[in-house]
Amino acid sequence: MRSKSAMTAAALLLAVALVSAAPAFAAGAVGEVAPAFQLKDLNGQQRSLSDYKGKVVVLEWINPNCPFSDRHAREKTMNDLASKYGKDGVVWLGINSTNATHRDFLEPAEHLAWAKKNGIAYTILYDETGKIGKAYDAKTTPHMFVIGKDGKIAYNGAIDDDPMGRNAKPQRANYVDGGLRAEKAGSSPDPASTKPYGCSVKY
Amino acid sequence: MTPTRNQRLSSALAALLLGVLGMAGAGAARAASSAWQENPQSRVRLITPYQTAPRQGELRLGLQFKLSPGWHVYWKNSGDAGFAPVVTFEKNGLNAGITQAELLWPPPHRFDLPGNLVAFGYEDEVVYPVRATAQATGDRLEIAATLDYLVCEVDCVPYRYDLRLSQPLGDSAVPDPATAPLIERAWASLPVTADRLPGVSTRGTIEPGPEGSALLKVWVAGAEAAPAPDGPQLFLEAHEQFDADRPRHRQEGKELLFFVPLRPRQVNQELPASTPFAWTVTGLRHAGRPVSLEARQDVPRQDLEAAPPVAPGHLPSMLLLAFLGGLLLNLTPSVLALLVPAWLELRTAPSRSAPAAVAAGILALSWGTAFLATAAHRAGWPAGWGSQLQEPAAATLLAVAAAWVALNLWGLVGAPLARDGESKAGGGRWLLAGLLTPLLAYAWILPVLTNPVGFAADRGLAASLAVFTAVGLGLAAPYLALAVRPGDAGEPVPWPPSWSTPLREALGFAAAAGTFWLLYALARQVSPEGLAWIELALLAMALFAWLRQRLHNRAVRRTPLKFTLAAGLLVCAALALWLADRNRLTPRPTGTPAQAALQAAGEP
Repeated sequence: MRSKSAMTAAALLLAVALVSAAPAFAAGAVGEVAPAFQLKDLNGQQRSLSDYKGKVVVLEWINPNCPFSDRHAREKTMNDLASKYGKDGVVWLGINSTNATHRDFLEPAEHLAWAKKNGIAYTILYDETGKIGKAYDAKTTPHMFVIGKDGKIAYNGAIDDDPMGRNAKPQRANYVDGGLRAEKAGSSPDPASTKPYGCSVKY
Repeated sequence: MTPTRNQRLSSALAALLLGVLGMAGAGAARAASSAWQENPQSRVRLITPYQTAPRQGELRLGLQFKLSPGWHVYWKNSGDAGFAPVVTFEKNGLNAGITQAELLWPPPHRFDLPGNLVAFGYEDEVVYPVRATAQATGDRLEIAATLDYLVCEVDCVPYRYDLRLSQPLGDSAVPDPATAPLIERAWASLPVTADRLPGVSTRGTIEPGPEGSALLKVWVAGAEAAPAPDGPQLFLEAHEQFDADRPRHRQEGKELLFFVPLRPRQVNQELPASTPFAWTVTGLRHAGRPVSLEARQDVPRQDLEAAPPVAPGHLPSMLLLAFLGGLLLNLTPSVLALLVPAWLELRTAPSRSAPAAVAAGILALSWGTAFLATAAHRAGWPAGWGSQLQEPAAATLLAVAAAWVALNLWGLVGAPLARDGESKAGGGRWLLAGLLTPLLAYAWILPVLTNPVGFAADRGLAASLAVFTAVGLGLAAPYLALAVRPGDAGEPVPWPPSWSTPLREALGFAAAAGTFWLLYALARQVSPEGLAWIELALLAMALFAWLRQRLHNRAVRRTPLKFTLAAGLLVCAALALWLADRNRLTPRPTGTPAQAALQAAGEP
């Protein structure tokens, strides 16, 4: 009887090992269907990607304590684009995947104060478990994704070609601006993917 | 003796002269570097190896960083986040002394970040060599540069500094004793191309997988792997088409073979006949000294159906090596810990069935391993001997097995070996001993098994089954010998019977050594927090076993409580595996060339 239960235990351990070693597939690649999500915004309201079905959606991974996110907020890089394309029905969502135990994590009141200070008018969502960040394979703040009207990822990468912000805004190649222009014109963004820069997402 | 007035004057003059010379020396040292630019995370300056710089020709400069503990700066491919330093030299301004400048990249290190993210760069101190061309006029070399860099720990801070350096020019260079060795060391550490190392070569192939994924294989021949912990590592430069997962490697004959799973940035893109890649391999030794190798190649596409043909001539020698390897595994501490008491017990049992059950268990698990190794190879894992230690869940499973056997030998769990005073009947117990034996053996790296297992992995299931059967037969040899020629109840024991329990308990420590070795290996695969949790789960497993044993010793008939404690023990063991996977630092390889292979073979 004892040996039977020990055998069962060994089989169970082997099964757990096999299940946990199953391979996973790439996430966030251009051309993939954008992973669905339901997240709460800074006011506690539930938002879902499906709420914006048929619209172009821009996702911006954000962390106010990252100097890159903060610089773009101060320079209004994202806000200006969000308002420029908002007129065409483009939805802009910031997603903060900072782990709730990380020192960079901001409570809603602090986050709202930072957004207000920088005049950020678009919605920011909490993903403190990091589940959605991992589903998109978001690596940096900022890391940008443009989701086309067909619900597929059309652009994945950096906001622009100037990590240090050395050049004036008009001199930078803004990839998301280019991507949204292409979406509006019914063509594919070029480039469709770039290497994002910034701080690592604090999973 | 009191010094005279003249002597005092001479001493004062000498001191003054020494002071002036000292200041001049310090001035010369300062001229060999720009001023340090400092912030709480780092210090940085530009250095030249000269007190007097040459008017024309190549200038070997350096960008020297000193970093606060825990902070790092980046390699040319920064990894998932961050970015590499950028130095912009003034080439056209007044007094600009250099016409060209290129930042070069010393061998990087890997930093694993939370969330399976990774960064490549340098910590503590690094000198980035700068290759420049001098074209100066006048009496001084004037160098002006703007430096942008990012320094990261958990958080990142970007900095920008203007670096200025001015030093005398001469027709011939005069080295600076303080900075010249720094620059010389930095230049000596730079990765070199294979053509600069006699007998060394490197090449790659890329195998397509589903949905645009691919597996990059890189071979390095003619250089040895440096011993751990400075062993070989491959760093891929940033690629437009792919994101790279963590490279793994194994020895294949005299070559090192790296596997780099690649994830597409864009799905459904056709893999061309060749794709450009650039890589740096660190942790190598050539002609007795450490080297790093760099390469930039158009890597040819290697379709699975065009894999190299099987070389049947090698099979017998590979099977012999596998059998010898299996035999030798019996001498590893944790296998020996189970083998000695099991063999002694079976030696006095006049039965063929018990040793046959152990051998059957060993062979069954060996065949299971052959199936797993083949599937792993097709899924893009490097299924070589030692790869099991690069996979957190697998290494933890082996650690749990070794811990289980240690607890068994200490008398805290009742299987596979029966406790004192318990019935020793039951073939299931011996089958379990057989199943556990390979799990104990897989914890140990045995170079003799590298070639047979690598050979089998590349040649499919039949070869894999043959090789693992040979390993299993080697492992099972002591038991097979008893099955062929059963023991005798009257067989004399070479020591007093009272020694058998202390011997078993002492061997428990040898089994536990297997667990500790595996935890050491896991320290490179999971986060420190994850490792702490795994250790806690193993400790809790031991605690439940001990509590259950206390009830057993007191002959308490509390079946529900005993059952709960046994369940707790198993849950802790399973928890350790789950924690290993959850806290893994190594991303899973993506893409399954297996599916492509099956499709190519006409299977769904």
